[in-house]
Amino acid sequence: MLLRFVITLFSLALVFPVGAGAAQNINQLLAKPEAVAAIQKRADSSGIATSREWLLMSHYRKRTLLSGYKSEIDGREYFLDKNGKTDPTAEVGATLEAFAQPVTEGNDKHPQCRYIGRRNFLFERLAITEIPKIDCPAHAVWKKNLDVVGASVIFANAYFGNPASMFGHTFLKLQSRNNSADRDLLNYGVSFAANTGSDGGIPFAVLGLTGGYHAGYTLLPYHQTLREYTNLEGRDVFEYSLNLTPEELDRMLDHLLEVQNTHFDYYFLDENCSYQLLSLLEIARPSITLTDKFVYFVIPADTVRWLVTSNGLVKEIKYRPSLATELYSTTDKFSEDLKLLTRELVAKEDPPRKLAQLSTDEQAKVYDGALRYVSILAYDDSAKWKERAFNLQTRRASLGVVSPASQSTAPPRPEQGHDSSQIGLGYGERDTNGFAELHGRAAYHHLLSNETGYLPNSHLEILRFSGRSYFDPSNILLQEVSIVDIIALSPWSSYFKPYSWRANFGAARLADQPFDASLAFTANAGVGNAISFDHSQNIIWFSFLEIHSDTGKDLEKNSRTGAGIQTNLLVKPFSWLRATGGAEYRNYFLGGDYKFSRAWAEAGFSFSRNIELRGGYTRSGNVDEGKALLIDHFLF
Amino acid sequence: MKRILLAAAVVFGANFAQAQGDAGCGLGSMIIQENTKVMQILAATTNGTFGSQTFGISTGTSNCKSQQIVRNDKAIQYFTEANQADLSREIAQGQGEKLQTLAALYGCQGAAQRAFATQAQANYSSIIPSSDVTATAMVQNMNTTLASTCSAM
Repeated sequence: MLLRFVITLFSLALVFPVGAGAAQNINQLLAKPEAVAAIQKRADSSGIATSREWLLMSHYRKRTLLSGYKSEIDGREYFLDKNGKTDPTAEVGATLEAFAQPVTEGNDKHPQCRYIGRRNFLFERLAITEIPKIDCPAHAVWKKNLDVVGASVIFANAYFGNPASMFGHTFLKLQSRNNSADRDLLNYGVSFAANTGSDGGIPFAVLGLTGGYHAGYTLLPYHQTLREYTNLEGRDVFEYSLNLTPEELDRMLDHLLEVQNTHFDYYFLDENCSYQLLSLLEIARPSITLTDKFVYFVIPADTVRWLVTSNGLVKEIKYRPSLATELYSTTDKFSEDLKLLTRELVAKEDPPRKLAQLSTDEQAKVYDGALRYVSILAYDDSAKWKERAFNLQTRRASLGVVSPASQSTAPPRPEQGHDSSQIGLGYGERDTNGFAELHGRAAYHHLLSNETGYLPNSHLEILRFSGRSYFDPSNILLQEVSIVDIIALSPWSSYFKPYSWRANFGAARLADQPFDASLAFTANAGVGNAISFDHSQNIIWFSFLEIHSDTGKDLEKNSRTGAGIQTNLLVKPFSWLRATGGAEYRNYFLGGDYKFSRAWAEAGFSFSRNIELRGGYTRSGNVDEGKALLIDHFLF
Repeated sequence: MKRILLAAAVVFGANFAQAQGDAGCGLGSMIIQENTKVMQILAATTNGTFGSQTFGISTGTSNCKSQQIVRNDKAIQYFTEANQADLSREIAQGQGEKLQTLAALYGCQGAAQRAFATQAQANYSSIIPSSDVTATAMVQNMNTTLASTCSAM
């Protein structure tokens, strides 16, 4: 329930004055059937049913295979015509008819108010005078209370602690007239969200992929939404405030009111949060054509990339550091002694003796660092850290001074990063045999790609394939089809010791098999840790303990399962150059006696935002392979 | 404070008459459940919206809200409940965006917000006497120690 857009407008206890237009007899039509028929004629001849505004308003999309349209709205009761979901024309007719219905249960329940976005559009476009416009008092109060004068798109950085957040997240902030500057947190956020209840694991994945969840737009105070991202999950946030006119904002609010009681079936892979956010912007300004561009699935970073490159749409960009970022930016400037004191303050019951030797200002600074540190720990485990946090706060408050405000430098923004799809062409040699390779990837970021604008030390590749030819036309081989490949590195810091992990799932030619062995299904995953040797995390050593499972007809028993260990060194001397080297050993204990070791070195070199050269050398068993790929990033 | 309440009464008309006491309103049992950040590899891809499950908030049931909008007369209570941990920390530090927002809710503007923050810091132990203090008690304590800060200026 908690994530549904549940504005319970119609159960309001408020008593409103009845609008002037509703002063008719309760059973009297607002307009005669002949008058409605005349409007319908105008509607037919104007082709309004297939106008961009009408199609957007009820989320009609051109069907991919069949001709005609289908709405993304899945609540059947939303449509006034029984074929409304697939018939925009019939829906226009039914809507006009409904607008003339008698007002029986108060204005707010009348179709003119329930479909206020449609009403305002049709009345204006068809110059309707035949049907009197009725007042919609509940909407008016809602709008007056929100008093929206602006909107911002909010981008929350990628977060690998939750698979659903790995691409980042976007939502909208409605700016109220009275909530500028020092009251910004009191504004409201609008998210497109699924009502997943407390499901997790497999049911969650299955229902999510098959549209088993109902979704809608939710409205929550901005401070609540923000806290979840910046404090609980440690994600930095960027705000892109938009240039929208009052009329455009009004259309957006009308639409939110209109779809509040219906639902969309939620699919992770399309119609996701970013997609529906773009829909909302299109409804506000129909000349924006965003959802047409994004066919399959909208990556949040691509959303902001599009916004920023659209002339004059974004007027201001603001950065909000997460609590974790603030912790680092406050304590990074500390001497080693102060850093140690910060950690000791949190780790020990009593304040370290050395602390008393510092000036009050210095003590306050150390406490401010420690308070942020313990807050993050308490977000993870409140029961364990609550009392410690309280004691530290009490002692900090008694010092009485106020430290200079923390300053965090804004990192590169998501839209400044490379585009998320890849295509590449390369040459390589396997022992003495040369080959040409074609490489492609749907999304999103490779560990060796320029990480400007991306979560540092992350790797998330969805739908990656490569094909190879050993310069023999009869011998073109599909080398790999990887569904998902993740490396989530969380280097240990002075404060936190998180684990890192990786997972890969797909089909590939196995590295320890002959080059023309058949494709095998592979699934593997590992857990380990990452340690950085410098503060800016440009040299990272990471290792994983893994399990591997392969299924292919060239294997002795068609499938094998084993354990593996791998270790890597990642070096990032410049933003345009990254290199890694590593080795692994696997021992398959089920399905045949396979033992296997491999060593590799690989580097990525960026010429520009989107062009990259990646080269590497691998020795698997006693087979040597070297290759270089020239890669272009692009937007789908 | 009275001025705020009066304004709220005007805005919300009849609904105001049904307003419950602070204790009966708001997120109440909101608990930040342990967020172990366990990876959910099986939980698939692409949308970060259900993270707020980690809050025990059931929107739409709170008496602090009407049509999803926080009622003016409950703004301080609601804000404090939703941000209790951060507010406590910022009070101890004598600064922060949430504390500034709270000052604004108490009617302070400009320099008075900084004075409010310093005043809050000086009264930390009266506002937050123990680690178990409820948000409701915290608001009552702030009303006692801070509410006059800005009306006095």
